[in-house]
Amino acid sequence: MYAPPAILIGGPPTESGETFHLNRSHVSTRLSGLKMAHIIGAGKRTDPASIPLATKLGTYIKNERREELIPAILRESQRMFHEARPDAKLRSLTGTYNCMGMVFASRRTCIDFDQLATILKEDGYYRVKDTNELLPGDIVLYGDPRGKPLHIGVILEIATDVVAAEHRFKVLSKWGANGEYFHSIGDVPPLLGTPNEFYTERKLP
Amino acid sequence: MSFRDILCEIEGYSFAARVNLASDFDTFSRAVASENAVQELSRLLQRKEYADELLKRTAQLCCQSTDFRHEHPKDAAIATYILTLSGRYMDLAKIAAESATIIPRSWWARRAAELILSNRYLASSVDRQTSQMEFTHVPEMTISASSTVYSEQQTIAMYVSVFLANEARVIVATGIPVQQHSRSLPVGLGTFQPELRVEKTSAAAQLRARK
Repeated sequence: MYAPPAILIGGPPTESGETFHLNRSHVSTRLSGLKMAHIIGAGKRTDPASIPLATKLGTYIKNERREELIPAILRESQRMFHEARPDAKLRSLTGTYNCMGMVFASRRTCIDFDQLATILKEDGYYRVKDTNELLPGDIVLYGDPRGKPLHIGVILEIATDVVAAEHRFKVLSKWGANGEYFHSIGDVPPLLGTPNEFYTERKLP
Repeated sequence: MSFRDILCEIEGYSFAARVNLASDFDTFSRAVASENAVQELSRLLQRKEYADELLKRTAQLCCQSTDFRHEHPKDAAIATYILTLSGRYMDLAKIAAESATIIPRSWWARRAAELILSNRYLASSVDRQTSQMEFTHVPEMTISASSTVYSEQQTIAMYVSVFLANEARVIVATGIPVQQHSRSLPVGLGTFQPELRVEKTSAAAQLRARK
């Protein structure tokens, strides 16, 4: 039978070993301290799970490194998405960063979408409305029908389909905590939304 | 689908892989809500006994010892249970959330717990009730981390749950001496059933116990 080490909280144990009498405020304080360390300030500078990360203008970007998923979940995601989206090609399989972390933090950490507006603004990104102007290296933002951002990726390749008279974009993006995939622009799980905006930070003379 | 089948589905690797597609908590919540198993579970929770079972299962998962190199393997399931409970039984969801706040290496579970507990910890109805409790009038009773203890006893269940999640051997309930009679810790699915005996103990009895 597994017997974990005793964790004594509050007053000293009695000689009988396991009977305690603590007042309410004492317990609450200790419990609050225990809890707050985990759930308050997540992703901020003081969070040990964050890394120093800032925009070009120096504004801190909230981020949090995520522990690796167990291999069984990663393998299952690989199997599942290979079945559902056979044309998407797996590049890497790890859960330690998300799509925002892949694009804006060199795969080092997870960044929430609430940081996106600040990053785009302070890193000098601007929206590209005409898809004819897109180049590899630009980013594509996926969203829901109301425009809420859900996913982001980097355009890797642009091919022109003469017959269909359209551009075909190859994108690299991280699918949540699952794999990083090469895929055509619309070939993502429905949960990640549809491509609806494009941005670039290109500087042209 | 039976209750047990639903829990197996939610705790499975496929479920985790699907909902882990989310990059933020909003998307995660949406992913969870769209799962058939979760919708089915939500329907079953109309019956209170299933809610009690779900709370018990959440406490079990929170107490599981896991590989320190990886995220908690049931992280998505715990978050799902907290969110599902919160739809109908906010008080139970808070108890579950309290347990989840101290799971090591969690991601969604911590966020779900934060959502449930934020801005309410000291001002909750449970706390307000507790502050007015007359502990000497608490009857003798047996509780376990898995059982649901209502109204003025909720805080006791909550603290027990929290301490169990922290793998403490010594269980403390606020203002009340708790005698630990027997308990077993999780070795595998379904073996977790700590039994605690909360006793009304006078100061004299405490002194006797110390001697």
